[in-house]
Formats: sequence, C-alpha cells, structure tokens
Amino acid sequence: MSEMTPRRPSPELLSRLREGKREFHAAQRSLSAPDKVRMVIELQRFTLPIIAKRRALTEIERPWPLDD
Amino acid sequence: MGFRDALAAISELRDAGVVTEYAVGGAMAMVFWSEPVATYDLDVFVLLPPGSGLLVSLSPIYEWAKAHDYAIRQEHIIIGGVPVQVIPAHNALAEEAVREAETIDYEGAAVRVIRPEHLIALCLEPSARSRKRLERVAALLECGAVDQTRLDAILHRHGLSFPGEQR
Repeated sequence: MSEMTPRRPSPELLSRLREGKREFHAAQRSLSAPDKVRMVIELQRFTLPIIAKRRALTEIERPWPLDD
Repeated sequence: MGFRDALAAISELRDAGVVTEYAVGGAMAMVFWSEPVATYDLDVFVLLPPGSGLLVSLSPIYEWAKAHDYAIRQEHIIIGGVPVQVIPAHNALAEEAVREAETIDYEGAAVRVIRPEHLIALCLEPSARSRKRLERVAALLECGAVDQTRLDAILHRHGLSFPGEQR
C-alpha cells in the first residue's frame, strides 16, 4: 500500500458501523405514532429553509403546528 | 391545531357521509409503518358514495371544507395547519387498500391507515412508479410489518410485480 492510499477500516469496524445503523433505523421504526409525527415536523423545520434557498416554497410547504 | 385535529376532521368527513370510507396513504402512512421522513402533506384515500354520473366530483368534499371554514390551497384542504389532499380511490387496488386498511391508535383516536402490503402495491403501479416510490418500497420491505403471503396475493390479484420481475 503506498503512502498516498488512505487507511481503510477493518471488516470488524465496518460491521460495527453497519450494525449501529441497523439499530438506529430499528429504533426509529419503533417510535410511537405521535413521536414519529413530532419527528416529521422537526424534519419539516430543518428541510424547508434549505428548500427555500433553492426555490420559492409553495403555499402548502409549511411546518405543521405541533398538537396542542 | 395540529395533526390530531386533521385526523379527527377526516373521520368526521366519513361520519358525515361525504365519503363512505377513508384511509391515510402516501408518505404519512409509510411513517406509521416505517420511520419518519420529511413530507409536507397528508394524503387521504377515500371511497366516494355511489352516484349516478360517470364523472367524479370533489365538490361535496370542498363544500364540506368550506362549511367548516377550512381553507383550500393547491387542491389541499388546510385542517389544523396540515395540508390534507383527499384522493378518490382510482382503481380496484386503491379501493381494496382503503377497505382493508388497518385501524391504529393515535393518542386515543382511531385512525385508518393503508397497510404496508397495499402501500407497496400502489408504489409498484406502472403509472405511479418513480425512483422515490421504489425507495419507499425498499423501506417498507425492511420495516418488519409486511406479510409476504398477503403481499404476494395482492400483487398477483392486481397483476403487479417488482422491477425486473415478469408477472
């Protein structure tokens, strides 16, 4: 391996990273429905300002209000 | 104001007889079965009452919205700040998806949600297929809630298949 070749992760490290990702997605799937809706609203709050930098938002592209 | 109010209003739309049945579909149905994704509206598939004409009209739905002071924006009804798109079931598959929807509990309220097998089938319809929808199919297949036997039966019944498969 030349000095220019970046060091690469071991199969064990890659396996741990993939397992962590699987666990993360499993945890997301197991959230309650109200928690998932709260996360959708958070995603709207994160993503809409980014979309607004690319183009004008449509009338319906607004973050939803949180349930009272 | 909020998502719960939108769900309650949709149930009321059914109870008032404006539609005969409803079920949440699209990205929000996927959120219920899988994991949260960014989406900006709530798709609600409905069965319309039998009528005499061949043309489907959404007028009764918009009149109901107007009577409840809900604003209409870009074919969406704004309920509790949530844009709701009411979509009449367009074929036998969509009708079946609404009829066989699962009732889930949302903070004490019963909500009908299209089952993951039907969501997959709807995404595999040739007229609806897109890269985004195929990504949804992949996510749903991983969610652990799909009944493979049921999915196979639905795909067979409606002549659908996965990309690259012959039906």
